[in-house]
Amino acid sequence: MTTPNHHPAPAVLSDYVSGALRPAFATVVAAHLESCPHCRAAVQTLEALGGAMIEDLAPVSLSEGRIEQAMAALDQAGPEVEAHAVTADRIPFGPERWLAPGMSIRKAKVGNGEDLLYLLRLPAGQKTVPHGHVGTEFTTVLKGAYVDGEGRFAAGDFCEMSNDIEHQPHVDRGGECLCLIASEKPMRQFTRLGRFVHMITGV
Amino acid sequence: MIAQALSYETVQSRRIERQGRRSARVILRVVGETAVIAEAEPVEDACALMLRITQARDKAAFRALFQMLAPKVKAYLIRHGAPPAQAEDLAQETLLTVWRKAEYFDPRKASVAAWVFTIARNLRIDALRRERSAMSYALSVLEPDQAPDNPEIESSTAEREGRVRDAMQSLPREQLEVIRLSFYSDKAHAEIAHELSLPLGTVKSRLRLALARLRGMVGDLA
Repeated sequence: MTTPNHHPAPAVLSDYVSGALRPAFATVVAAHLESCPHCRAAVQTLEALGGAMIEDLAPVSLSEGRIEQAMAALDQAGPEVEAHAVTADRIPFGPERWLAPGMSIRKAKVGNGEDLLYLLRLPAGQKTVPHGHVGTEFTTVLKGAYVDGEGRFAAGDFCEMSNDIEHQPHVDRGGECLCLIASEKPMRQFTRLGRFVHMITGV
Repeated sequence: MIAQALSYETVQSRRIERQGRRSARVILRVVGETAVIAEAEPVEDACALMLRITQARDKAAFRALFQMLAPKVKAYLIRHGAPPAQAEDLAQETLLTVWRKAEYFDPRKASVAAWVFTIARNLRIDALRRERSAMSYALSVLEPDQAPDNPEIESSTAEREGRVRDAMQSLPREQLEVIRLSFYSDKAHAEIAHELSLPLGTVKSRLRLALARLRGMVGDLA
């Protein structure tokens, strides 16, 4: 697999590493990292920085007996921590909902559900009409490719959209396009479905 | 004394001079599978302690590592708004995770501090936001990479840690300010821009320049 050409801004990677990204957005970044050695290396550097930042802090003593408590816990089994890489099929998606021919959406609930995380499937050759965005939106292409004014976005590529940006993606003729998208929740639920209808029909 | 199978060197690094706490640092190069026995004076390196934990499940090493890092992790969590009692619980849990998941520690990829940072961050997100961060961070924290069968821990980890520190110190003040706000608070770069009354683009470019400089000085760790 070729490495991606479109990457998150360093500020986004820094937010990811510091823990400031909300989970839906962090997940889309993680999906990009899965196929991007370049950004994985950047993340490691930022994590090293995080380690140095922790070491630089003035220590705050723990209360008496804490260390003995910890020592006593060493032989107990801890809670299971899942150790796996992020892959799209690990995300708890809901059922696939049909939007239009060849076009569907699968929503996932992550975190407190304050943001939307979903898989959007677009058919080969799909043209959308120009559309803007509500708040910030992160996309990682999982399969296929689309082209818009910013270039061609293929598997692994990351795209950040914000309020003022309009684009008109055009899916490659070669095959369908599958995107993992995180976006801030619109004020009213139905406006999003309305937006998809708008993207296709222009209404 | 140092076991025969070990060769070692004492490095007087700039970092140590700056810190002034440790008069010298012993960097161990492990040859073969000999248990690591270090002269414990002065303060033992976190990486050496970690090796004793992974290779020998050495509880004394854990105790030393706990004493070294738990108070720092507690400080980090308090910075992020955790009440002291919770910060203490999470700091303890962070170090216990180090013990339980020791086999995932890969010194070629991260320093002990960096690894502890990622664990503390994830526990913080899980606890404070009541969310499971496993999904969004599993990749960077618990990547089940083939741990080296025969680890040859050269000075790389410690040196790299020193380089990160040097790089950090060499950052222009305004870049360091943004970095510090990122790591010591729960704020995303957009909120930091707001807080500092700076245009978003300015904060983004400071982070971009800082990361470029870090990567230039530290080199890629992958």
